[in-house]
Formats: sequence, structure tokens, C-alpha cells
Amino acid sequence: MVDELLDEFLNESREHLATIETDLLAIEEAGGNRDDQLVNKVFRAAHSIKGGSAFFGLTLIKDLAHKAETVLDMLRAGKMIPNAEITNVLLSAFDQLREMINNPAVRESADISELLLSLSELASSYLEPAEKPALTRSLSLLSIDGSVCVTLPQMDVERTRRSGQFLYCSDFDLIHDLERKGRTPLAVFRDIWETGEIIDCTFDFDAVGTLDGPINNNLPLRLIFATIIRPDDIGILMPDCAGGIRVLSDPEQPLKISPAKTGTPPAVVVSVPTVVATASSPEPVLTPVRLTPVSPAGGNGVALTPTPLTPLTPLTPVPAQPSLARPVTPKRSSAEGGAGAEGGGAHSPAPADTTLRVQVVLLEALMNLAGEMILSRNQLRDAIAKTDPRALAVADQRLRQVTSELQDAIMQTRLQPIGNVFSRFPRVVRDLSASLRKEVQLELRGHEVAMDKSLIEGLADPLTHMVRNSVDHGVETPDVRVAAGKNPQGTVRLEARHEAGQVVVEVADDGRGIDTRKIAQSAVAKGLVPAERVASMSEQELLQLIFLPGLSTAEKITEVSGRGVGMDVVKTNLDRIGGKVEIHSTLGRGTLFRIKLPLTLAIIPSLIVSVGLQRFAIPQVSVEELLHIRAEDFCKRLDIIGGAEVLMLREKIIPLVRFAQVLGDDAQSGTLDSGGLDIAIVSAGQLVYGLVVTAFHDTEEIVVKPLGRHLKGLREYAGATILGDGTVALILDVAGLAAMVQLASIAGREESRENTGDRRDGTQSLLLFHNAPDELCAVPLDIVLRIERIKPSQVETFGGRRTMQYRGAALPLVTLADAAAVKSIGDASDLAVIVSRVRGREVGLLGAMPVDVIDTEARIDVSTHRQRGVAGSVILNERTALVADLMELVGATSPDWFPACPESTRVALEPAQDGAGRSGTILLAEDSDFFRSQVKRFLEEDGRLVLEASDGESAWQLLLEHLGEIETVVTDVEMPRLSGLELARRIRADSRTSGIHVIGLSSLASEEDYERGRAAGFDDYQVKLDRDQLIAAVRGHASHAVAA
Amino acid sequence: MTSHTFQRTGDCTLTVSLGGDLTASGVPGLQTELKQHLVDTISELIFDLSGAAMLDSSGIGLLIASANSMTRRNGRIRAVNASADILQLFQSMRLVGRLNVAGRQA
Repeated sequence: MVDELLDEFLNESREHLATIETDLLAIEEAGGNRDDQLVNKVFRAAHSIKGGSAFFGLTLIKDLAHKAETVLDMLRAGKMIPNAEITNVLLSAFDQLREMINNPAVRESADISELLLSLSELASSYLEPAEKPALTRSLSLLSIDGSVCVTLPQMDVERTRRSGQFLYCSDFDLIHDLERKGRTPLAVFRDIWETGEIIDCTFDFDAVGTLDGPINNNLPLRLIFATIIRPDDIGILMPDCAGGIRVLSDPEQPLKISPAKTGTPPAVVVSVPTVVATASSPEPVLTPVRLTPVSPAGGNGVALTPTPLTPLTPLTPVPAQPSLARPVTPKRSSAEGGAGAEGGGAHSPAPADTTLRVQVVLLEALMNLAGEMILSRNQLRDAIAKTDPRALAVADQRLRQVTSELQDAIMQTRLQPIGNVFSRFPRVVRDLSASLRKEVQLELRGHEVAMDKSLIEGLADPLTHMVRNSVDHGVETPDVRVAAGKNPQGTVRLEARHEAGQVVVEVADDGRGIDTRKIAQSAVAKGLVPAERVASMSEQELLQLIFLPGLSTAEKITEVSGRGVGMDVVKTNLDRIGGKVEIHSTLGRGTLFRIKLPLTLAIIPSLIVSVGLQRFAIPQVSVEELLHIRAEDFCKRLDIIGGAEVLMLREKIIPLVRFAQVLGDDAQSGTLDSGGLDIAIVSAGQLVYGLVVTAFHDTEEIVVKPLGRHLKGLREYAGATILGDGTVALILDVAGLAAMVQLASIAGREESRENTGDRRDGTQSLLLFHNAPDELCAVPLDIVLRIERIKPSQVETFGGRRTMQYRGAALPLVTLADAAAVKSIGDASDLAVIVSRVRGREVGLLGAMPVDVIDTEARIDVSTHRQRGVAGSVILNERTALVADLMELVGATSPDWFPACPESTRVALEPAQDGAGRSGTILLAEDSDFFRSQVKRFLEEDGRLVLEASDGESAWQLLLEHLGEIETVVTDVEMPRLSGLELARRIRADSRTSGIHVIGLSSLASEEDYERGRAAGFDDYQVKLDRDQLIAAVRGHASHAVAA
Repeated sequence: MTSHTFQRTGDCTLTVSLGGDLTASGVPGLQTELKQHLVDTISELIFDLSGAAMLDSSGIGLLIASANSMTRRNGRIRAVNASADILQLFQSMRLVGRLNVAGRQA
């Protein structure tokens, strides 16, 4: 009779071997840049084959796998650097294993002596002379309390330490310490299997006695086991026992070795199973069910990278050298066919991806439910046949109950504890912190939180990346921490918990935090985000920039501090499993990444809504609340801010998205339902918005179906589902929808800029605020870095200067009244600080809330209300707004910022005569009416004749028409039709214009922008509203021209 | 009460087929029966664990005591048809060799 379990083992082994060849070659190719995960994978394959074959008494397979495992362990530990010779020997070994697994005829008769010798010599030749005995050497370990001395194989000790496990010795009695306390040996051993491995177990057989005496008396044993459970919590694993539990090895502490007793041969005999044959079969019949007798990956002694062990032998890699190993040529490759039909390519799924172990009791429950389902179906059929409404209702109820239970049971089969992933991190953190010379303590919480298997697998890589980032970029070195008044040891916390039907996983550190300023600079420098957009971003939005692809590379190269290395990949991976990431960071205090994940991806509770006649599903986790706004409340609850529709909800302003408009259903979107509006308040990470729909329906648990190929590109949908009535509903991705709406608006803006000047007819963005309550003011949005809401108490006045504490420094504050004849800001209780930059320094313009941003085509009048500190005025909704001149305001309060003119903030206004006895003509190219009029005024006040153009192309035409007159071109960078950079390149490339001076203008430019400008042909780069610098630059060029 | 079957094969072999789990409640009774059947000529004692899904500390104690008894008379013990759980437990306890344990066939 064929042993099914043996078949299972053989099948598993084939799966393990399927990718070995490709993996080994990849390992060889990587050489010293070892891919730990790959080496680990091959090691695990050898380890599993060894373990299984030992159970079945397949001695030859076990011996060969064991020797291969030893070599792989040395590769894994960095004692060996992969080369062709090592690969050849290993390939041959795995070929032979494959042959023995596939061919029963040779399973017990193959001659593997040559291979065993080659593997042994290979291992031996790559060890330092002092290390060679380690292969067979034993260690006598003293327990940390010094009370027990135990001798163990050195390889076992090293392996458990590398995988971050504690080694314990427990003396207890099966009768007194377990049975009489109501526990069974199997329960205790199971717990150990799940968190580590049993290294040795020794009974005191003599103490048990014989059948002639009473049995229920003594059954003492000594158990040596390794586990990731820390000594503080070991009571969870092992019951209190008379002999106590002693720690033999703490992976974070040096070993206590009893030198006198250490050496070869081993002093402790580790029992080896004896294989016997049953009367009915000549084949060995040790028949295990559990083919992986130790804990899940990562907890079973599987190590990723070498860990220095003190005072054990050093782990310095030995350079590739001619070894004493016998030269072996691989007999065959899997590509050559033969018995290796399983020798698939690198893309074969790993066994862990294709199999799942399910408890028998759960399968039995599923079987019962399947039976119940059939009964329910019969009941339903009967009810339909009889058209009996009452029977139908009963059948419906029963079917619902059975389906619900079935769903739960099936879900249970896929749930795994997140501890399976967490268990890898002690080692990751320890290794990384050691290599970075940092002291990092890892706190793990919530091991037991269970999640869908696919989510656990999908979470492993992003989490590893984030934990590594926390140690690498977050936690500072001890000296830096001490200097900052912190504990030299940093902490990284990894926590999982259930929260509102989701799993929340947090990765937190108490390190340096993320410097959003540097992140923004880096993003702008890389051209990932326009500087203007960065200026208007909130802190949260700036933090989210670390997920931009490309940012990480720039940071790595320029060593900009902060995170971001590969975070785009993290985000992509998390997106793939439906995860949402929030970032909270305080400079100098630390960073928290919060990942929210669904429990499963297959079935999700959803709210069904309709827009017109179409129905959509919104995942319940994204729905915050549902609102119905009555028509008579529209004026109270709805408003338009900055051209966007918003909802006032409990003192919060929430943007509204009319889903019908997104769908392009104008008939629906144009209708203001006299019955009111149904709004679903949905959240996508930090963003909360209201989604206006036609109607709400039930909540349903929907089965997620992937979108077809032709719909894959739609960001606003996460999938589709089939509703109870058989119709198809699309599942909304609220984050994608928000991004899409935003994208459309930005795209629209950019598109308009790309179009001809007649489309871009002077629209400009203004930030509105108040000075006194009745004085509406504005500044161009382009010059605004950030807006902060503060309380009056945050404003400090020292030496007549107003400041506030901001990002660890004092931010100078100015008000309109500092220079202009306007009312004082008064005792407004809610203040806004508009942060901008003047002369390279940040400054805050103090105003009163509320603030708003508008796009207006209204012309800025630069004469009627012009005064010092006021650049002009603009009429908005029949109200006059004063446009603040920040440069002049700073000049009035901090004249020392303008060292060139200490007595005055303004350059003297005598017209410049440039030798020819007339003013030099300037060509000014600027698409913003406001900035164009401002800069033109500056230049005209300096006696220049100014020609204006509203885009680069017009400027080029004007330049050609006025060749010989124009001595300097002053140009904006971002312009429709032809950008300032393109204009400069064209000027430099044409011999008629190549000698003309070009000055670039920008609102808020980075050093990289300057560099780009110079490369394009700018002679100089000036800030738009810094009048004095601009005039000085123009005069400088003019004088050079005269001198020439 | 669990009933066990005792079967002699020739003079030397005694096979005990367990009728249920080998736990503390059944161990004293089985021990008494064993002593009655374990005549001097028996050199091999076989426990057929087909009927046992589980054994507890006392059950393990009985097997070890039986092994000790058989060793004293230069005989040996075997435990066959162990369930998956029992087999794995013995494996971890390093008792497979001592008790000559074999697993259950499919």
C-alpha cells in the first residue's frame, strides 16, 4: 500500500527542488553580494528534505541533504563566498537528491560516498583551521545563572543564536509538572514547535522504574529547546516546574562557556530516531504527519545573515580559494529533462505559496457545513416547487446562516498569526543595528493577531523594508542621541492589533524624525513635484512625498537625511494588498508608520450606492459616515471655497466630490435634488471627503472580482462584484477616486498652460486672508511656502520684533500694518501665518482667518491703492482686496536683511544711463499679469523701457522685432507655449541674440533650479519680487555691456 | 472501560492492541493485565497503537516502564501504528529509538 504521507513528503521535496538549480546559479552570480533570502530558501529546502527523510528512514537522502545543508549554512553565515566550485558540488548533490526522490530503485542503493566526501571537504576547506572542528564540535554551555552545564553541538548553538532564539534548559517531570496540572505533553511540545525547536530531550529512564512498580510516580526529563520567546514570557510556553527553566543562551548576550568541558567529541548524545520495519512491509515505515517538525520559517533556526557570536569562532568570510574538495561536475541540469520534470524555472511558486496546512477539525467543520448547504438547497428547491412564501423565507434564512458560517470557516483556514512575519525582525534589527553601530531595542506586540495568508505574505517585504528603514534612517547613533538628550538606545516598535474590522500594523521609532523640508527640496530637485506645488503642501502631503518613485535614489546619492529609500516599492506592495499607510513624524522625536489592512481581500463588507441607474460598492472600511442634507439646509451646510464645493460638517470643511460628475453623467450631476443630497463621508488615508451619490442601499458582503484587462487602468475602481440580483457593480477605490479628481484638476491647469496665450488670459492664484476683519488682503499663491494656523499667544515680541517658534527656530513675523497705512490686525483670536521666503530666509506674514485660495482673472490695479507694503489691489466679488508686498513689509521691519541699502529698503530711483545716453530696453516675459506688472513697475522706476510678453513664444517674436534695442531679457521660467528655459536656449543658439543678457525669474527656486537655468543660458537668476536684487542684476549687466 | 486485546505469536512475542487512548485512567488496569500476560518466554512486547489517538504522561510512563522491564529480560519493546501526533511527540522526545516506534500506515 502506498503511504500517502511518504507521497506527500516526496511531492514536497520535488517542490523544494524545483527551483534549486536556478537559485544556486543566482547565488553564484551574486558572489559576495549574497541574497540572504535566496540562500535561506535553498537552505530551507535542504533542511526540510533532511527532516522528512529522517522521519521516513531514508538514510541516504537524509545524509546527503544534511551535508548539503551544512555547506549552505556556511554560505548563509558568510563563511563561504559562493563560486563555481561550490555551486558545482551543490548542484551535483541536489541532482542526486532529485534522482533518489524520483526513483525508488536507487533510493536506498545509490552510491553517494563521493558526494558526501566532496561536501565534507568543501565545508572543511572553507573554514579557518581553528574552525574546522566546529562541524563536529560540541560546546558546554553554562546557564546564565550558572546553575546548569549542558553540552550541545556547536552548530546547533550557532544556528539558534543566528536566528535570534533563546536557548533554554528545563528539568521537569511529566507526571508532577504536567499531568497533575492538567496539561498534556503534546500541548507543551506543540507550543515549542510553533515558536522554535527542540534541541534535545533526555529522560531519566531509571527513575521511571519497571512494570513491577507504580508508574504514576516519576517521569523526569531534561528538555533543551530554542524559541523566540523571551525569558520574561517563557512561562507562557512552559508551566512552572520544580526543576525550573534556565536560559542557556540569550542571542543578545555572550555565551557562558565552560572551557574545561568544551571540545570533541560531543559529551551529550543527541538521540537519533531508529527506523524499524513493520511485519507487513519491508520499507521503513516511520510515518510522520508533520513533515516540518519545527516552527514556521524564521523561527526554526533559519538565519538570514551572519551574526557575530562571542566568544565563538569568528565568522569572517574566507576568500575563494582552491579547496580540497573534490572537483565535481554537475551531471545534469533540470533543463536537460530526465527525471527532473520538476526542475522548473525560477518562476515556479515556492511551496509555501501553493500549500496550506489546515487543522483536521476545521476540515470536518467545513464538511459539516457542506452537508448543511446541500440540505438548505433541497429545502429551497422544495419551497420553490411549492411556491410557498413561508417555506421560501425559512429556506432563505437557513441558507444565509449556513453561508455565513461557511464563509467564517473558510476564512479560518486562511488565517495565520502575524507573529509568523514578526519573528524575523529581532534578527533583522540586531544585525542591522550592529552593522550601523547603533543600539536599538525592538518591541514586538500583537504576535497573535491573525490575518489572511495572502496578506501575511504580502506584508512581509514591506514591513521588513520599513523596519530596516527605521533602524537605518530613523534611529540615530548613540552619540547623536546622547547629544540630543535621548537614551543612547533607540527603540523600534512593531505592533499589530485589530481595529474596526481592520488590522492595524504600526512601525514606530524614537529617532530623528523626517525632515519634510529636505524631502521637499529633494522632490523638487528631482523634478518630481513642481516647487509651486510643494509650497502649498501640508505637512502630511510633504511626508507622503517619500513614497514618490525616484525620490529614494536621489536621497541615497545626495545623502539627504530622512527616509525614502525604496519607500515607493513599499507603497506599491501595500497598495497591492489593499493597505493604507499614514505617516506621523516629529522632527527629533521619531516617526510612526501606520498601515491599515483588511482582514481579507476576497470578501469585503461594502455599502451599495447608486448614481443614476448604476450601482456601486464602497468598501465599508472606507466609509466614515452617511449624511442626508435637506434642501433647506444647503445654504448652511454647503459652500464654495476656491472654486470647489465643500461641506461644513461639525466645524470641519470637507471637500465634496459629485460622483455623477466624475462619471460624466451631466443629467445627474446637474440636478440638485429638491429632496436633498445623500453624501457618503469616505476616508482615504489622511484624506476625508464627501461623495455625493443618488441613493444609499444596503450593506452587503461582496466577493471581489478583478477588473477585466480593458478596465485595469481605471484608478477609481478597485474591482467588480456581482450583486444579489445578478447585476454587476463596480467597487470604488476611494483613494484612487480622490487622486483622480485631483489629477484631473492639476492636469487641467497644466493643459491650459500648454495651450495658447489666449486661453491663458491672466488667471492667477491668490491667497486671501484678512488684516482687520473688514480688510480683505491677498498675496500671490506662488510666493507662499506654507500656511500655519496659530493662536495669538504663540506670537512673541522681543526687541520690537515679532516672531514665533517654528520648526525649532524663530520665524520673523510681519503684518501689513508694519509698513502700510492700514488698521492693526487687532485682537483676532484665530491667526494665520503665511510662510514665504525673502532673501533666502523664511518669514511669516501674519493675517487673520479664514484664508482661502482663489483663481481670478481680475486685473491687479497697481496704482490706486499702491503704497509701501501694498503692491496694489484687486476687486473680488465686489470687494477690494489689498495685495501685500512682502518684500517691502520685510524691508520696513528688518532693514538689516537688505545690507546693500541700510538706510532705505529701496534702491535709489535715479534713472540709469547706460553710456549711450538712454535707458536700456528690457524685454520682460512673464505669464502672470500680477508679477508682470510688478516687475515692469520696478524696471520702469529704474528708468528702463520695458517690452512685455505673456509667454516665451511672444517674447521671442518681440526680441526678433527689436533686435539691437533689447539689451536684457528678464523671463519667468514656467510659461505657456515656450518656457523661460527654452527661450534662453533659443537666444543662446541664435547668433543674432546670443550676446543678450538673460535673467531668469522665479518665485521659490531651489539650487537645482538655478543650475538648470544656468545650463539653459541664464546669466542670472532672481526672485520675482525682490526688486532691489533684480535692479542690481539688471544694472550689473548693463555696466558690463558698457565696459565691453 | 477501555478493553485491550492481548495476542501471543509463538512463545516470544506478545502484541497488545490498545482499544482506546492510553491515558492516566486506563494505565493502572493495563499495567495489571500486562504483568499477567508477560510470561517469562516473552522477549518482544509489541504495542499496537492503532486504537489510540492520544496518550498522556502516564501513557508515556507505561511504555517506558515496559521498555525497562523488557530490557531487564534482554527483550525489547516495539510500538507500532502510532498516530501522527504520537509519532511526532516521540520524535521530539527522542523516544523513537528507545521504544522502536513506527507510524500508522495509510
